Amino acid sequence: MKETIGVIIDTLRGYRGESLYLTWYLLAVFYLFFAEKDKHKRLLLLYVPLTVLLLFVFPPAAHFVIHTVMDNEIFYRQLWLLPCAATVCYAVCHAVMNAKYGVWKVLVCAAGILVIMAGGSNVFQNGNYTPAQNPQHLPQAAINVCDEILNDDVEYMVVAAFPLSLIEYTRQYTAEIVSPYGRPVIIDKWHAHHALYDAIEAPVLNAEELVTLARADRTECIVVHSIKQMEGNMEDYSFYHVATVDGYDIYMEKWLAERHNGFSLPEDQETE
Amino acid sequence: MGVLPFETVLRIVGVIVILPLMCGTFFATCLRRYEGRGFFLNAWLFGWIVVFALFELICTPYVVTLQRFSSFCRVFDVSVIAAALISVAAGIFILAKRKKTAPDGEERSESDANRRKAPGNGTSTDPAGKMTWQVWLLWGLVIVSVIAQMVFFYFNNHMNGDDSYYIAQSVITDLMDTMYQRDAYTGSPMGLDVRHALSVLPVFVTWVGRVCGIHAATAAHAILGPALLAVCYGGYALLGKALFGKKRTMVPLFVLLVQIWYLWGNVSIYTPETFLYTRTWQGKAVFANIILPLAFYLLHRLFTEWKSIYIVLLLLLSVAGIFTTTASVYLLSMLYGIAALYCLIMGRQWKKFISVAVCVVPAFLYGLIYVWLLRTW
Repeated sequence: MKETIGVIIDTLRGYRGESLYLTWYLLAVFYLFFAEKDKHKRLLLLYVPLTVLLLFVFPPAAHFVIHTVMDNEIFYRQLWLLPCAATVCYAVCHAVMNAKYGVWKVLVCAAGILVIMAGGSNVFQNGNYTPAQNPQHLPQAAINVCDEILNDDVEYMVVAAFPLSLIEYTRQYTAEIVSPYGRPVIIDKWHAHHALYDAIEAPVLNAEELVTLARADRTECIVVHSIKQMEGNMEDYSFYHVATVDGYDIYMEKWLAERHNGFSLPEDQETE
Repeated sequence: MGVLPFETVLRIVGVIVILPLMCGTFFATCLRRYEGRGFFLNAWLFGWIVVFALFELICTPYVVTLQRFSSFCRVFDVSVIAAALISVAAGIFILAKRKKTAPDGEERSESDANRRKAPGNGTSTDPAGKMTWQVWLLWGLVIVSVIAQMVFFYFNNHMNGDDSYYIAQSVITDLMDTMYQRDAYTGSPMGLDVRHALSVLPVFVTWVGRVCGIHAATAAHAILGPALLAVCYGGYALLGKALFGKKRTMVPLFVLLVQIWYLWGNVSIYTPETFLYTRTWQGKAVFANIILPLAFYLLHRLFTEWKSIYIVLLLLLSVAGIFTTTASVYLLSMLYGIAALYCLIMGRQWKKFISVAVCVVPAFLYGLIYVWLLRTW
């Protein structure tokens, strides 16, 4: 039970972050508890959400939910049943309606807006919005690398290994390229380590290690950062550099590289 | 980012504006008696719910029996067009019937009385409901703000890690013609992905992409993202209309405040506000920001005025909830269950209790299917 109480507290803390989000909500509930007389609105905005909140913080109920319905990771979703936006904004509107004079109404409204802004964090200031480079809203480099890998004359699903910066995007663009590993390898808590991924992300690449691990995973294509140093030569192990795209080097198994458009083996070039 | 071809734009308008409007016409016509103004908003919002619910009801059997996506599409295309046409025809029939009985029939007077009582209908004699220039200005601000955000969403992107599952699943569905049978992260074949199989929004994204002739990632990020943002605020406008009743002049202020709350609601990665602005196209965001506000709206209307149309809509919403996320089975049941219990506690309103309790049935059935799938796979 102690563990459940810990989960409840951590979830509440994580949910509100460093803000006054839940404080404003509880204040709005407190205000409406005395100010709102309509029984249907009280039922909807006060009684039902408060029951949800009580069940959320009541350890036996929380224990049941965490262990039978949803796990720790998504337990916070129960808090979505609190209509925070509707309750706080309705409370501000209610206060505006109750203000007697026009000036007071404007002041109450302005105070409400300032309080909401002061207690929160603007989503457009989180720095994660960037101008879309293409209609898919994916990094252009991921699209270019995938297009280059698929630029061949063979109907075949290539198995390709990508570095961290591309893992999450390549399969959003095409299902024609499969991977020996996916997003789980970059989520620490999922503990999904993969030796080939570690080799690609190593500060200095090792050709022999990359090829050995790739073949063990039946991977025919390896994409690495061009700027990284490589010990050894991939071609010595029959993996050929077919192209460099947007700062990524693409290496392929000999048989696949031979089918790649615009690529010819070094030995063929010498013969010519 | 280039401009989409004209034909593609027409198809997109067809899917995100005309189709929901047509599918929701029947319900909007029925609601007109009790809701007053806002026919098009009602039609559009509940049209989305009809499309979601229909998609869920038809797609789930195809998913759990490991059928092909293309076979499902053939059935769904016909079904959704039929539903849209039937909905429009039924709406016109109801309107015509009302007009016919209008001149001296009792029905007209009852209908008019209902409409006057309706929450969105302040009258000019009611000072709180009088539409002044300030109110129109606020409505203008709300609309301009929503459109500006939609345009921003179209031209900007926000990377979200979970997309590497959801969008990848949509892309797999498009290319491989299978649904939830491949590991989205790697592409390797697997059994049925039971955890996600009942919530078919990624399949819906594929369907939208195919119908519009665009990539699934474009359908999700550039088309459904902005569209669902507007649906969310439309839902809050309905909720505001229900909460303020005849004081309808407060509704635009309420929606504007909700927008401010949402814009400043990025306090953690868990809040519905953050979900709306960072992963609008994902099921969880749709559930928290569209399904739940509409559920509160419908529950309020049902508490205030017991009408069968609200029960039907709550039932549809229950199915649409599962369409978005499997967690809806538990969350909506909890919401409906607590609301139903209060109907009993506060005045032993058995009729309302049974009505709300009945709306838990779809969630319960889907819950049983989920458990069965877990045991089978």
